[in-house]
Amino acid sequence: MIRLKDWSRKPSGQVLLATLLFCFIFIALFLGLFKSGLLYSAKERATRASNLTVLAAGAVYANGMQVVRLSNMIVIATALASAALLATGVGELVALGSLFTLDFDPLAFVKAVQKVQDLLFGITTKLPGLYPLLITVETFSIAGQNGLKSTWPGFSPNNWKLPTSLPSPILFFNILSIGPKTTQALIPNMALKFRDGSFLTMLKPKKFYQFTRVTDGKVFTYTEDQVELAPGSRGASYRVKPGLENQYKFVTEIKIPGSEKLAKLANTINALTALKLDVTDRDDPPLHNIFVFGSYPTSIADPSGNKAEIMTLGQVTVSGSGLEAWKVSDPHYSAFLSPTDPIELAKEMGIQSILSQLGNLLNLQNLFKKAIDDLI
Amino acid sequence: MILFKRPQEKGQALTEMILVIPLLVLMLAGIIQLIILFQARIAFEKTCGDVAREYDAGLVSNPDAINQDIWDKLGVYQKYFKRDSLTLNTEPPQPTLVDSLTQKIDSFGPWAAKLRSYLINYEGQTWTISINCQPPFLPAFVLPNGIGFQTQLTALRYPA
Repeated sequence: MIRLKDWSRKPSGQVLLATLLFCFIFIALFLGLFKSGLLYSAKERATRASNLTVLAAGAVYANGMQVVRLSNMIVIATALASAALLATGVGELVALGSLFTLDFDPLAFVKAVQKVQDLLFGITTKLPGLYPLLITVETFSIAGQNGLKSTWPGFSPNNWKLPTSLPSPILFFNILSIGPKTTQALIPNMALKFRDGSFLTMLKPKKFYQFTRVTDGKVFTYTEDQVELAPGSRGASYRVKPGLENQYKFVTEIKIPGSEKLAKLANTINALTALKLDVTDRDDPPLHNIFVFGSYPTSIADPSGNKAEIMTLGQVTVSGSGLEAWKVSDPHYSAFLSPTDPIELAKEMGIQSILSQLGNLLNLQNLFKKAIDDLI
Repeated sequence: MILFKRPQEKGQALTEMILVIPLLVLMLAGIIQLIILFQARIAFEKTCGDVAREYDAGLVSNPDAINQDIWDKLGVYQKYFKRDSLTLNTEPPQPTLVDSLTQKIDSFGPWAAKLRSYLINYEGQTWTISINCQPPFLPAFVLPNGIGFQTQLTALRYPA
């Protein structure tokens, strides 16, 4: 020990010690650089995996939009065929006097096609449609092949495994337009609805109401959206909505000449609004997007052996000219990456709250139970 | 007269510097070259991702064009790679249940395949891309044959 002490006081010993110290510092720097280089490289791969996965989801989604166009074409064709059948048979039936006695729905074929559309795309059904499920299956498959952690059951016919931890990846369908119940975005959907005759309501005759001021006899006219049913009133008494001139004053409906005819027209329009037509976008303006949240496992471990995982979030937007049947030959829907700032997005859309909820969920069953509860 | 010259401390610092500086320079050079290697690796990974996105958009399709595109996009990093070592191996992605279904539909005949192509018109490819990195001076001394980089990715595109 004493000899080592003496030796370290000699110039040669000092040089060697200093060199060892330098070596230690440089090796530490070297290792740090190597690790950060590996992590940076893994981050690049994680971003790539996320982008390709979300684009794959967009590709299948875009294909689905073309299938919707084709199915709309079938609806229109079926409707035309039904109309043609009715037109050809109508003369004979009228002659026989049996047109109105037949227990036959002329729209039966159209309704059957619409039922298939409903099952295929999950438009009004509470459970996801077959096609949104296909988007999910394909996305999971591509996510796994691109290296994203896959804790869902494998969908390859030869590769079934049970989930062991929190699910990854997680898909959020059309979360930007889903409304306040953001957990519904976990249910695969394509943001579609059946077009109905509701656009005809703009033709519906409006009711007008009047109030005459006693002091000067001035007459004020209000439309039906400016008045409300007076609370606690007997019968249907209306008053001016708060915030408008003469608020809370009772008003009387104006009788317009020929109002009976208008009422009949309104009834007809009401009946037409219940009629289902083709499938169209749920939102106006149309918005179709998918977010994929995933985690990318790396080979870099901390001293306790826990391997680092990189969280990724990607967004794809699917857009096209429209879903109408006559647009079937239009350019296909296209999917493109949308820039995603996870922090801003989490703030805006409440994804953060969803993810924190996910952390508290014990298993997948609870996750879907909550989503289905929200849906119901 | 002095028979034995006493050892002098003069010049000790210079001796230490002379001993340490080559080691220091070697290590600094090693660090810089490690950075270059990682930059090359990251550039390669990023380029492959960019080209895969072009494939998604339908801008490239045949393997030769993909190869050339990867090389072109490497840009200033080309000097760290050997062009003739760039290889691309394409294969279909792992089959899903849908693939099994579409194969069954296609087996009914060309009309069924045609009908199926209207309904399921997306396709995918798994790429395995390899390239040999020509490392800078120091790693080249240790690894004269270069360092092989390999990456794998899977992309789906629509329309096929």
